[in-house]
Amino acid sequence: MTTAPVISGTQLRLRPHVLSDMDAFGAFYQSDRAQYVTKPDGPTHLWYGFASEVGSWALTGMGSWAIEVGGQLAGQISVTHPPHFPETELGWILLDTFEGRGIAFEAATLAIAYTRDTIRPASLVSYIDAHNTRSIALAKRLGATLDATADRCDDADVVYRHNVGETA
Amino acid sequence: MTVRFSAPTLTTDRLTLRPPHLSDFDALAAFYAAPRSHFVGGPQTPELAWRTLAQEAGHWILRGFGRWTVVETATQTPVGTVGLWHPEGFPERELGWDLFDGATGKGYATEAAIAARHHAYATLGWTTLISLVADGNDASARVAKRLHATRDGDFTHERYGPMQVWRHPGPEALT
Repeated sequence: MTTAPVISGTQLRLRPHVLSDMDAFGAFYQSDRAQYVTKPDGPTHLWYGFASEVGSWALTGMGSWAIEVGGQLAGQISVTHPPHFPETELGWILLDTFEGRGIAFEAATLAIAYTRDTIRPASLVSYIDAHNTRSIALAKRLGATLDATADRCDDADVVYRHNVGETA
Repeated sequence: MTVRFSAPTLTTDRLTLRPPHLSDFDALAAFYAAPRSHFVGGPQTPELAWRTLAQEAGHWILRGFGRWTVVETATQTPVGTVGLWHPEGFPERELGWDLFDGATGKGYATEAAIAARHHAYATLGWTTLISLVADGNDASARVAKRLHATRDGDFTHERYGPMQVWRHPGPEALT
């Protein structure tokens, strides 16, 4: 079964998730920082969300990485395409104390490069809650552009389109 | 660099227990779309069935064991999901069996569960194992009985509701 590849950057590395990462995300979802994402309603829901993004690698060759900074879990970066998503999505979660250091930007840049070179989807977008200004700012910093007409599952989201080259 | 995690494949007289594949999605989505799945968290939309299948694969990677897709060897038809399961929210490691529509009444759940239980004891070195059976799921309780498991209290799952705990004989009792 395929798991996430390890990718090293300058201040962080992307690595496969381990079980103990789940506790940190459980705490994240209970915090105000999770106001723009779907909160799990209990341990079963948390497990299904977390384990499915790990298993996505085995099924589709894409999924979630843990972002690790100095040996500590700093967040998650994901490239996923469950059947109900119109397009392949790049998503990110940054844990509380790691903000403001360019970590999400570097992690996303590495993930986009891997996506472009290896996953090679027809397209790559980020679905972001329209009120999540910090995530929207990151999408723009990554060079993504607003696509007002793209299909989306959640009407509360805006769609930012990344450039992954001419692989379609 | 791609990391591979190796999940074993087991065989019985009639069945092959292999790791979950993307190609299992249609069979799993059909199972979770049908009313029969209400004992195990269904019915589910295709979105949730996808999440369930991906979770089965992720379980192997995170825990090092998991549930197999059971395939009828002669026809290569997926007939169910059986194996060793410990998602968050479960009291301990469980031997579970879900048979797809049209695969019941042939002894497949028992046959696959015996192979999975043997793997747990002989290969993984476990010493005990439970099965959780939702109240009212009499067909599943009959499988537990055929496997010589015995009632060992009750458990209320946050989603599945009241469940019977059935405890399997340990490895020493099966040799």
